[in-house]
Amino acid sequence: MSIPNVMQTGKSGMTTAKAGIATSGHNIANANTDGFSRQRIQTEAIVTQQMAGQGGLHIGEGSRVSRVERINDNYLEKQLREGGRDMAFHEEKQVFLNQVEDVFNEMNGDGLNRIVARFYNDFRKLSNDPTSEAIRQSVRESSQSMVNDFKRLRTEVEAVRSHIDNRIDGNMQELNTFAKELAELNGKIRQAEVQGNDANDLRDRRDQIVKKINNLVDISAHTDNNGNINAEIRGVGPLVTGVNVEEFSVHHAPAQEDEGNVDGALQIARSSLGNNFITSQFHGGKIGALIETRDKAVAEVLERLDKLAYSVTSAVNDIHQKGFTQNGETGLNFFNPITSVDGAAGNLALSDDIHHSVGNIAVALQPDSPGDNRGALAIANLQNLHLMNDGKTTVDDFYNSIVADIGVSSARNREALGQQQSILTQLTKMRDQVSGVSIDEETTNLMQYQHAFDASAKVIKVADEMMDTILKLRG
Amino acid sequence: MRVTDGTNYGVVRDSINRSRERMENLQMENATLKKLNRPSDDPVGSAKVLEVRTDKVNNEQYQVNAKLAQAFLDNTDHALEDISEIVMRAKEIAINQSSSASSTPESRYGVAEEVNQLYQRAVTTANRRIGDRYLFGGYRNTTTPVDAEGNYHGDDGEMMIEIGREVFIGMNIPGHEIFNTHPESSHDQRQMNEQKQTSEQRRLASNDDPRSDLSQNTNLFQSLKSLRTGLLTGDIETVRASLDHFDELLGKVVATRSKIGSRIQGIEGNVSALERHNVTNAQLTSTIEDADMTQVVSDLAKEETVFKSSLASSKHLIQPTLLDFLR
Repeated sequence: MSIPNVMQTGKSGMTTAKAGIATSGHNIANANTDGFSRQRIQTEAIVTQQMAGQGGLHIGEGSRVSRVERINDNYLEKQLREGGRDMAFHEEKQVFLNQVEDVFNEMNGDGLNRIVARFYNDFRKLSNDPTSEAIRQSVRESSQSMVNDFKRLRTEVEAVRSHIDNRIDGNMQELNTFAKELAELNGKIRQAEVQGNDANDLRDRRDQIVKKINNLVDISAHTDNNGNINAEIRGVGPLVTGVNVEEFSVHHAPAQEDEGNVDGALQIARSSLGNNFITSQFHGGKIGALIETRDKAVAEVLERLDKLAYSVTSAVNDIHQKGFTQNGETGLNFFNPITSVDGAAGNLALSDDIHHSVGNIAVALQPDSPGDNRGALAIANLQNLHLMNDGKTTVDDFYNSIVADIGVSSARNREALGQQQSILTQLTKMRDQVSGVSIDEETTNLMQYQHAFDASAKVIKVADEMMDTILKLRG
Repeated sequence: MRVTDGTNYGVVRDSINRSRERMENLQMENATLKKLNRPSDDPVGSAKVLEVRTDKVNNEQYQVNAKLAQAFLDNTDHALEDISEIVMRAKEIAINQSSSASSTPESRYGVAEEVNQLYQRAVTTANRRIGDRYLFGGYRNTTTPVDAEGNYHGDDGEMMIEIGREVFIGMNIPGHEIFNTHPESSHDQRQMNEQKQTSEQRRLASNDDPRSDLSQNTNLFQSLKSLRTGLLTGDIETVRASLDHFDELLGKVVATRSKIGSRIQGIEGNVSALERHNVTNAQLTSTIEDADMTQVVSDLAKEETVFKSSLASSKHLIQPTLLDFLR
């Protein structure tokens, strides 16, 4: 074994130690990078050729870095990804359920419940004194505020709906961007690894992108034989296959009879297939949450509100038409008749006759009877009649149940969100235990490699001195 | 187990967040004195609260209704008291003048004038009103129910008023029920919410009704008139015959007044029931929506301790690293 070889050995030790220090430095630098997996160098001893004439002894020639390992648990990553997806789902849902709940929240203030009660009671007041102009005015006022509140509720819930549409739009754009990024990363990683390099950081980034896509929508991701991650949207089809991307687009579509969606709502289609809408096939993640909230919770609230407005209008009108006004007219409407349940809450309005004069409120059931209060009594009594749900529920109960149902779905979702949060915290902790960076650990490693570096330098120094000694022999 | 800085900071962040969230909720309860601030805080409870609130608003209206009905009935009762005085005086006169012993043309002329006054008073009393509504007009209560000739222009409408959930009470007595002993028809209150038969239809239908035999009918104004005529013409028989009429009328007025009395009693009973109901409702909503302040305050104090200790332990958890000892 020659002295220069000993120097080589020292050099290899220094290189290895330097790589170790660099890797620890990289880990420390990325201690707070999302989705970063700590890295370790794997070193191995350099195997020597057997030397002739030395009794068959193997003397080592130092070490080298065989690879930079990424410490990561695939199964944990998948669980974490799915936990994140469910969390994003509940989180997104909660935002909009809260908004709908706020619209209907009259725990500490005025709302439709009180306004409707006032409406009925003004008719009761009117039944006490059917000829009083002042009470007639107040009946018209409270009816108008009921109309306004129905409209307010519908407009505000519609605003929530269009807000949801905006979010769907934004999230679909993100989905397309992420999908492209995933495909690009697939290409880059493949390129790097074909050349024999470790693409650790690219892999971290790819995992991160897959996670982001999964937060948007439910996907299944698997690695193919070439090391590509292929993502498929569950229930829809492939999103990314190798370096190929399926792009999706959103359209404000007219109402479709069979889907039961409203005019102008945002629908999703494959860009390559035009107007073939597949909105309802998206599940999970933010996009799934948005679609579900819009087409189930919000749509149902609007539908029930419309039914309520429609029933009240037609029930009041039915009675009012039979009544006689102060001028002996009969057959007048109290509210403008509404032809369809759809959108009824927004179309609710007092009839022109009532707008024109409160004398047109028909309280009497027979002409020339200013004291006849039976019409007003009958309208007030609607409060006790089971007008809704095929004659099973009163108007009040029906409205209260809307509020309660919103409360229930919001509370249930909040609970699920809390649970999901704990699960995710636990999973993140588990992932951190495996892949997270510990500064203490890295500092220890730094010291360890630093000592190795110093010692290897010492080896070179010793070899140098040996060389000196030999050279001096001649002098 | 590997403990990394990420888990360390995560634990700290998490415990502080949770503690803060709980404190915020408690703070909200503390500020509003309510534990029910959004429907999702207690969905079923919130529906109940809304229901009870409607109940309360309705009860308030029922109470106002009851007061109005009572005022109307009280006034009606006063009017009837006057009517009964008139009838009694007329009866007295009829008794005095029905025996030829005490009846002379002069005395008859004298009392005839008094009967005329009684007649006028009867008409005025029949046309008494509260506000601008005539007590005895039935549904036609904005025009005088009885004209100077003693003809009734009101109808048989009974103004029903809701004084409790689906509890209705008539607030008026239609004039013809009082002024006639056997009115041609009686009002059926069960037809409340249906299209009521018109007076015409009822008149036709009641032709088969034995009660509607108009020969039995005695009218206050006609009786007074005929008494006066009898007195003026010296027709003792007519005077004597009017005695029976006045007896009948008096009986009718007394019966009606006792009807009013029982209605007022019903109203009073109902009002106290409403008040009890309001108290129960208030207790119910309080249980559902009011925060238990002792609980809230003690929870808040507890939470504060938790928060402080988690901050304190964070200090130890985060601060020292190996680096601190290598300097």
